[in-house]
Amino acid sequence: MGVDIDFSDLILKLENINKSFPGVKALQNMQIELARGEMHAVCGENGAGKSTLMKVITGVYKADSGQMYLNGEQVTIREPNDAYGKGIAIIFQETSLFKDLNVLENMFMGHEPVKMVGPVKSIDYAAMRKKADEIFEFLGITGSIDYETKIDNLGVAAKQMVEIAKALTYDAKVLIFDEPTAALTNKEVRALFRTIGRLKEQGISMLYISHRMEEIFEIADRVTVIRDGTYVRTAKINEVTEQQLISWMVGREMSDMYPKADVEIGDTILEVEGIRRDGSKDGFPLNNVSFKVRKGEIFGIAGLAGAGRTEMAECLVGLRKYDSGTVKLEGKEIHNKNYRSAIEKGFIYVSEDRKKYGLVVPMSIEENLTMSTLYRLGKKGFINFKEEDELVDRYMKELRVKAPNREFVVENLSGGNQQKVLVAKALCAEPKILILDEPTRGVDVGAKSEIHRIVSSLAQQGLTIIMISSDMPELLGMCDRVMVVKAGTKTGELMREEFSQEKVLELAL
Amino acid sequence: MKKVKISYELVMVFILAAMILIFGGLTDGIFLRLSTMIGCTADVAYLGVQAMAMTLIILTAGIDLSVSYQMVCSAMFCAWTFNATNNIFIAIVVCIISGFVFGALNGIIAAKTPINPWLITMSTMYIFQAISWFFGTSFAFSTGNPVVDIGNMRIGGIVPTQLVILIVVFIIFYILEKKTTFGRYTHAIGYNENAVNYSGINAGKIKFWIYTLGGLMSAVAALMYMGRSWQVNQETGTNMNIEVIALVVLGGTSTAGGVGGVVGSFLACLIIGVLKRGLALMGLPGTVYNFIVGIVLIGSLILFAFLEKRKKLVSRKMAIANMDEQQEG
Repeated sequence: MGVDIDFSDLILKLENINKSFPGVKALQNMQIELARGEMHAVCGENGAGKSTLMKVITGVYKADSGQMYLNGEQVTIREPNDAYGKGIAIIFQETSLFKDLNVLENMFMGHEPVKMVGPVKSIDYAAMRKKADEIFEFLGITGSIDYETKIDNLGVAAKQMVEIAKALTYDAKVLIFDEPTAALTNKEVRALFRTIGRLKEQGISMLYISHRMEEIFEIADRVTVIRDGTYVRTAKINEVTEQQLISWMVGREMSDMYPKADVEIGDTILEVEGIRRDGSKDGFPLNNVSFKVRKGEIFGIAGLAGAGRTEMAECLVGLRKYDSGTVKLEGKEIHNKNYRSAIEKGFIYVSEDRKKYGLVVPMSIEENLTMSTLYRLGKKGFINFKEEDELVDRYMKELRVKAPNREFVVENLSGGNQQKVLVAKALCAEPKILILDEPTRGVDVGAKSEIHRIVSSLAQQGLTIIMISSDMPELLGMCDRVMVVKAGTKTGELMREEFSQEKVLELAL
Repeated sequence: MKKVKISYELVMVFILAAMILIFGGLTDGIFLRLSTMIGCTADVAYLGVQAMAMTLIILTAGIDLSVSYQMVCSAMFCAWTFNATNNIFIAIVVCIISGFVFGALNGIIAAKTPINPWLITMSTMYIFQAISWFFGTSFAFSTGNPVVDIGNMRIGGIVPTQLVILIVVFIIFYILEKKTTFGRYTHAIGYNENAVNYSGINAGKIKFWIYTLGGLMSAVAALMYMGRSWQVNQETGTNMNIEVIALVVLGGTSTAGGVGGVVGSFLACLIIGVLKRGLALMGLPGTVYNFIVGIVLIGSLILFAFLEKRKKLVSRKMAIANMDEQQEG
């Protein structure tokens, strides 16, 4: 980006950083360096450890081991305030501003300039304004935001500017951006990049986390790729291609990720006809949705958030009510009044929100696994513990749940293993129709491919699977057929032969 | 190296034993007499019976502030019916039914509305208190009435019937909590009610029965209380709800829900019984008792928090160690 940068003049350097959470090695021998005045992009897949690394740098997490150097001196950052004090600030994905306070109050929150009024220490608003004027001028946005506006009344882009201005009130020399453009319009992105350019001219160093390749190539000087919590490599941006970056990020072949087995598909097992619900009270509406699913099939439901995918699933299993329409299972019309009766008929729904609806995380693997089917083990409400233990051991082995024992609390398992427990819990009910809602959200890449393998082998065993996912490659990689919904209405159905991301998007948007 | 597992219940048993020995020393051995030692529990057994049901309620992250006036109200219903009919069996049946109805009222509201149980039971507390006033200021029973006779009996001259009832109720609740699906779901509701509903279980129905059990146990406690005190009056329920809740909390059940159980509440009941009688035998006034109960409560809460944190840390370490093994293996 025009300005020459001396890549040996390091402002920040991290070496051998390790950080573990229960069940996850988030960072292993991680390293990164940042030169003075450099714009350094950090990229990697979801769950690669980008955000963890940034949280270690800003003191939100304490690294288990490793060194951090600031201007060549070794430093330890114990908490976020430490980082501010040393001139490192992060611009969060979700803004950390107080929405009921105004711009000025937010910028100086916690370190307001004070003056003495007689014996009383009071906030010096004049000094605050003066400093704010300086910062806004520095950013080249003088007069664009009124200091008295409440944060709640600002748009996303303006909030972000306030965050940046707030960071500069601490005289930040290193700024970290975590997916800053995720919620911005194209015009707002341009404005943000102009500001970033200005910051660079003034010698501010920046780390920039993003998925968006075109952005990285536009504004970064160098890029560091990380994968599964480990460092892959750092390169100057003009010396790499987009293809290279992607291959470093993914590091594995697509066929490993989506192991789709050949399954003989049977007769129609589920027939849904004209489901309607009015979403005025809760959830989103559904408008005359009809589809058929065949035995052994993996049937995908695609659509944007809020299109009614989850509502469709919850209507099927009696967790929500629908106003009209019919559901036929194996040719017989059924109506699930509640979830228990749906489970009895062979439906099971695996929620997208594993911690809120799926699992009772402070309880053990065993207690979670049998939660939906405990009443079947034993008589008259008394639990048959021996039977329960056997059942749990069997499923833990079958799904390869990695845990010391069955009494282990789910809370301390990695996301992937939690998800496996959730799938095992569903399988305990011995369902005919398994509905998976976002089955690999928030799990690491390894566990993701393992879950796909499980899903594939379940279909082979003759289970009918309905899979809802926002992860397009996952849907297209795993499903036999995909239905697309948009705002509660079915807009199309694609067979595996005609799959393409463009076609799905066209129908979904 | 294997670390010794220190459970909160184990600590409570030690505290109980230590207290008995200390009071034994301070009262020249009077306290060590079997009849005193066992007898002291009779003072608090009616609170313990209510605490059993309260434990389940608190396990679901709920509370029942109306418990004391459910008891007073049931007692008054019982006494009033006895005065009217002179038939103690009808009176007892009326007592039990009224407890059931009071509990069910709390239960229906707790199951069907999203209102916080603190607010629900605070409101019904006023209602039950007012109902008890409709009957009059006080009722008394005399000897010859089976409630009083049985309530004061000591089996073999040593074991009070009050304690026997507490133990029977404790065993029933222990089985309910540990051996049945009902108990499992009770804990699960306290941790995450959504997940329980999303497992095909009607959490509302379980909550209804738990609050109803609370009412039933209040009715049992009403009979025990009248058997012991021979009377019930308008002042009887004052602060009693807090005493019951204190037993549960002292027993290590968390008001956040999920954590704890009836074993702790039972042990807490014994500890409070010993403390109450021990201090009385030493001739100390009630103010000292309150002071000490306060200290015991806060001390045990700190200890409990410490042990819970330790348990979590051990579990985290295990998780990380387990991960290393897998990566090497």
